[in-house]
Amino acid sequence: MARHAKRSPAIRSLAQRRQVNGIGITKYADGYALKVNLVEPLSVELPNEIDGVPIAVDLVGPTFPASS
Amino acid sequence: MNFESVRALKEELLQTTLESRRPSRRVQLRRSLPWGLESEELSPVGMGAKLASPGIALGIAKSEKNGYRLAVRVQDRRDLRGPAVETINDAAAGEIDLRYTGPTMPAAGGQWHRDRCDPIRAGASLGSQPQRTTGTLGCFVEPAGGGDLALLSAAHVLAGWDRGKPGDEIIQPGWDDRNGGDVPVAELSDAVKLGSPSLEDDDCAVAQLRPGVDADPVPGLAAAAAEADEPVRKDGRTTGHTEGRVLAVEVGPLEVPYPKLGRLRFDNLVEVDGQEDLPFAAQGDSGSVVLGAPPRALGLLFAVTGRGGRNGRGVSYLAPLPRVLQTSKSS
Repeated sequence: MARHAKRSPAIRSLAQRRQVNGIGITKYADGYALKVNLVEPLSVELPNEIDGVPIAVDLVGPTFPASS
Repeated sequence: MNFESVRALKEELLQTTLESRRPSRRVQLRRSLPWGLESEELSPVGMGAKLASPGIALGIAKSEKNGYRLAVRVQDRRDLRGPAVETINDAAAGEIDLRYTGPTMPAAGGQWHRDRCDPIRAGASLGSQPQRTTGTLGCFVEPAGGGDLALLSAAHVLAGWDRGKPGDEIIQPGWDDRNGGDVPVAELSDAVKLGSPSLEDDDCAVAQLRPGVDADPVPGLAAAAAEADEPVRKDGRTTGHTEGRVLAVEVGPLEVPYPKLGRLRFDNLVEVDGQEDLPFAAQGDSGSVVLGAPPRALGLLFAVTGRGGRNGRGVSYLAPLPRVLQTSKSS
């Protein structure tokens, strides 16, 4: 279900936003949720769920290659 | 400068330039994460009262002449030429002792990760001699067509920013840890060209062990797909041995800014966070192979963030190891 929701037009559109960097599937209670990673806070409200799948937002900031 | 002048300048800069780099307010998340956070507020990690990692620290160093100068220690290379260091340099009229220290972490188990290891083993520091890189030895692999043992790590560790060539010398420990004691242990044999625009490519490379190099592979470790919420562990050059959990699977598309290569996109990644108050990984841990429980090789670590995750200490991204082995034609 979460995998299906991740492919929905709403999520595909969300993934195009510049504040969003990666959407994945995370464990949530007895099921799964979609995890939306943000570089910076979104200016729009997200729905609580898409296609019955809960949405979790995580402000992870910029991502870097992990060599020193 | 005399000692008191440097001390006064240091205090002034800590109150002004560096204070302004700290977050002025807590970031409001619209909704709490579903992992039990009690508050909807998350503190951005990075600039605490003591300029925690990644950050800039100030001190007082002896000058080459008679006197003192301002010691500036940065944990992120990008800060070496950043606006904060520029401001500090101007304020000190150029009398600074600027050094890159790398990320500062709590001591994580033994310090062998940054030392010369004989035999070489997974989790040890290594890098490319011509590309002057530092990362982590992930694991040992066998070329699919047979052949001598090779080592697996991230492409940007073994080949730099797409500049490596077959035969490049791979040293252990890596460039930042060598202290004159590095040894050539392998030669680059194959690295993914990161600049190629494909979501199917992972940041991985293999290097053939040199004859006579003693390796300590973990026998019978199979590559497998990660499952959401499963416990994981890794050994890495910077943070040593850490434990965490798979926070998300099938993550993407993820954009990562690579120096000299631009913003590269990756897909179908595994996302991991650390336990308690520790990050799972940091810069220098690239190339680490992350193991699940029961022991299976789940992914090759190649990117990190400075915040986010259940403890706010950042998340790490792994390329799924079954795919990495397919890409690198290894097993």
